[in-house]
Amino acid sequence: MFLNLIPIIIFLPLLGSLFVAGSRNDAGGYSYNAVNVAVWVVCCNVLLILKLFASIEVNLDQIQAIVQIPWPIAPSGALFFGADMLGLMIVLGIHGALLLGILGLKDFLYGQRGVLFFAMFFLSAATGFFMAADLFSFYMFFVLMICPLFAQIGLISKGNAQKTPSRFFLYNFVGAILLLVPVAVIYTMENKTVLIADIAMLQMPDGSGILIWSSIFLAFILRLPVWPFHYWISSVNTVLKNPLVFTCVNLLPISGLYGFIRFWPAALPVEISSLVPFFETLCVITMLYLAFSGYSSTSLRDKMFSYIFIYYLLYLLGVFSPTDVLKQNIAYSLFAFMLVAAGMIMIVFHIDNESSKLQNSSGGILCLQPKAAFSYALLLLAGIGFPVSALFWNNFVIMSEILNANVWVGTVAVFTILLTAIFQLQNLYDLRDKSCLLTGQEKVYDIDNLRFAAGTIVMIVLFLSFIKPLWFVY
Amino acid sequence: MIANIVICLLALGVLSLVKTRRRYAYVIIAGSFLALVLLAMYFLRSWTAGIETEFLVLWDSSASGDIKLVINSISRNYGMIFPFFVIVLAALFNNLFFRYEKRKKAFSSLMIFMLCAFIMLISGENFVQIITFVFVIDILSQILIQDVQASRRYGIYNLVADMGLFLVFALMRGELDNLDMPSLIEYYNDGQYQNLIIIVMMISLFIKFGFFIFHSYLLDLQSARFHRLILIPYLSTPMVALVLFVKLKPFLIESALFCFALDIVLALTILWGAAGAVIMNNLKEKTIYFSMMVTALLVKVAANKTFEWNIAYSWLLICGFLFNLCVYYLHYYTNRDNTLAFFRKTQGVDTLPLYIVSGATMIVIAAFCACLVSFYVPQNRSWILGFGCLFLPVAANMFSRLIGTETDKPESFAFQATDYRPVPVLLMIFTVSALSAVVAHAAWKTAAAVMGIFILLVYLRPLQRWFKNDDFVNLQRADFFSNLYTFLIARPIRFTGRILTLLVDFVFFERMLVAAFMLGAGVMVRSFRQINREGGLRYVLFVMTAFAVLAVFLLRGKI
Repeated sequence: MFLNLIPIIIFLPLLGSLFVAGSRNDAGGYSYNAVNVAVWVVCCNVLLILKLFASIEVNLDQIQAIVQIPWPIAPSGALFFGADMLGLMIVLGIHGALLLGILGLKDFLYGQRGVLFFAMFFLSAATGFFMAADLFSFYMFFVLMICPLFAQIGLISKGNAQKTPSRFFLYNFVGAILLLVPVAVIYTMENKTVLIADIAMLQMPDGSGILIWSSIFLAFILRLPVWPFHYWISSVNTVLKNPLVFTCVNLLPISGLYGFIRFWPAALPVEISSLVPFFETLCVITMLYLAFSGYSSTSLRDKMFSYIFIYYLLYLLGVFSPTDVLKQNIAYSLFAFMLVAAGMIMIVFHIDNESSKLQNSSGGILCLQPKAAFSYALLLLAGIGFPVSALFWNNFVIMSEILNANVWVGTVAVFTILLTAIFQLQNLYDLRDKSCLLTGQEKVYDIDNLRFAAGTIVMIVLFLSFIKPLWFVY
Repeated sequence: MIANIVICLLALGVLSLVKTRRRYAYVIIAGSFLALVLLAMYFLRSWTAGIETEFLVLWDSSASGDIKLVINSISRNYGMIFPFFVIVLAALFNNLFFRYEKRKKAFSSLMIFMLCAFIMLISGENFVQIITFVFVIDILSQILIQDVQASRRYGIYNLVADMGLFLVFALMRGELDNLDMPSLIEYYNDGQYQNLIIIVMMISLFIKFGFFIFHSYLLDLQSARFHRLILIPYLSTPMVALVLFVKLKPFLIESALFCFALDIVLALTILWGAAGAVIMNNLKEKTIYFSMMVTALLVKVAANKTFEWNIAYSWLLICGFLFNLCVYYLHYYTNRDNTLAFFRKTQGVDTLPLYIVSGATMIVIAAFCACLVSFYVPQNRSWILGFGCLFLPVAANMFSRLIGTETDKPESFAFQATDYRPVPVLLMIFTVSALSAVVAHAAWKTAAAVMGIFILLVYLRPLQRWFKNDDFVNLQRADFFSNLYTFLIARPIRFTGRILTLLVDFVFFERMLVAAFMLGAGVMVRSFRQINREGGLRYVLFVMTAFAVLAVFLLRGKI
């Protein structure tokens, strides 16, 4: 069963991307064929993931069902893939998020087929990364994930935004090199690839432990925009005007977070444990910075960016806390968060696009878009932590562990979450404020029924996950 | 018992939302009301039977602990639920006849869900259940307000309060590894951060109560519909705060800091509420200030160490709501203009319902005071006396200004009262209820004295003579606490955010780091290009450099 399912789940989107590349553009620029292929591929993969979910022991805290695929060229060895609840939840969340991103493409015709092609490629790489069970395959997919994103960003960048791909590549390339060094060192030490579960137990040579762990740490931190390494993603996000690319780029930092979860055991290696308070401080400084800049920004997309990264950093603080029980809560919360964020991105990009037709600001635009208003309000309530999704209880546990580890770090984290919730709520009120609307603005369109249905389904999924996080496991 | 009621309420709430033809809508809301009456009878029978049961559902189980939904059918919970049951019944009955509610079915359903959420909050014995239903009531309150302008600050203030409670409960859970409320006392004895917890909890509760300094969000409610506004103080966040206060009291009153701050804030709230209720012209603002004042006293009464939530306390809440309802109907019969300056006397309007509402108002006030007598213990004596000295003149002032203000509005503005018939029925019921409260507490003398003083004050109008509202125009327009919020909190955060974005992202990264990197790369590319150009000197330099590198490796290198 596993032997067949895991490689299929990894490579099906890659196969789908070939179909997308071969599809024709329809009249009017909208690539119905490409979109349909992409949607069907993602849906089929979701079903396969659910099937795989049913076959594993969800309460077992280790990678199960390990599949070995021989590596045909040097260095000799094999690639190992496997699945556990954490990895599968993230993979499922990414599939859901990409599906919403694809549905959001309807208003954005420029380079649509290319964007879809690389999105499928990204999905394949991301699935491989989250199912990787050994160091070599982990590294391979870690690097492979940035290639389609680089191409996507380059494809949609115009004018002044053309510098963006270089920034994106610069930081991520440095991150890839930083991870390559420890991977190579460990490979040389062991003379074979090492299973990820065994990394924490490796005996490092004297003096090199600090270098190896620091290198791993920096590689992951470059993916997660912790200050002062945050600039690449903030500069990239400000110029991305395509919901699918925005969604993909904002899913990339999960790889850094996942890396920390896998490599960062509760009993920290002695070489790095003394630096934890320093990392935590950097995290909360970044959270504060993002919260303040999100609050002061007037752009919907900037606010979304701040919101998304503050939550990623909250999860990172949870990973740093000296306990292993949070893994499950982070998985549940992250799954709900990915769906909420992708749903909000889908609607925010539509609102942003439509508000360009208004004479003044986007204030009050939701009064003209009842369906978008309904979906956005519900997703936002879930997103800011109201008890309608798995975010609520799991974030409560994560925060309580952070507070337990360091009360001041936890208090600042709660403050930034509060500030984020406030600016998102203010945003909602502004968008619903009828008094901001001028007359004669009837040309603004609401989201179509398909996106409304998608938003509603996401809310149902979120609500079910609030009642029972693994309701879909049969 | 209570669990059965919750299940029935949920079903009833969902049924009320079923989409029907317009003509069947009335059947649905009447059916909902009747069903709620039956449930109320079942509730009273279960309460008086005195059978105690526990209903427990394991909601979620994880390595971090189990979350249970608990509904305990115990006498204390029955007592605390009772006033909210009565208020929801009154609201549903009013909704049956009230013609200016456009979405009657949705309103009925909302009231039923609100009652359900209050029952779950009151029954809650663990942090997660409590904080969940605090959030749920906040969401329902936002739907109740239904106005963006009114709910903007309401939502944000309550979010701040909720996150404060969230922080407190998360901190306690992290340290105690326990989600149960009884562990609060344990935390007070052994916990590390009592002061932090007390301060955060105190601020959260004060915001939720809408006490002095934190009350400005309540004033925004003036842009909400009046019949919805009167429900907010007695079926929304201030009552959530009251329930939480009663639950957390064993922990809170151990803190001298909390008791000290509470007394000061309560005194200021009562004074500020009384002043606002007298000075303001806008009737909605008057109602909000008046409710603030009443809530402050209710909290003072509940803060007493010997306090037990009994039937008299429940009647205080009910009478408070009934007074708001009477004010609303007085306003409804006089003109339905929110600004008292433009109120006109009820010329051309049938005055019978006005008399009935006026009578009901007096009885409600008398009943309130009669119930208050039950709490006239030495610890509360000065507070109750002081409150009484403010309460009666302020209530009389509101009442007399409602029914006795002349205006020069044109005759065409005359309000045609064609739909008053249900109101006398409604108010008769309220009056009988209020009278029964007086009977229950055998406080006839107090009730009679209060009514006498009230009538005298209405006749003499002392406050109206001393405070002419037109003298306070600037004071009425001034919004000190909104400005305080804007200039001390919102603007500095926005300013800091902009400065940080500009300094860190633009100046430091864009103009310094990225530019330096690009410049460095450019210098390197140019240097290599220069070296690779044809020319004798460059050739020599290139070869010399290669030899230098070779020499270094030969001399210093190891094999």
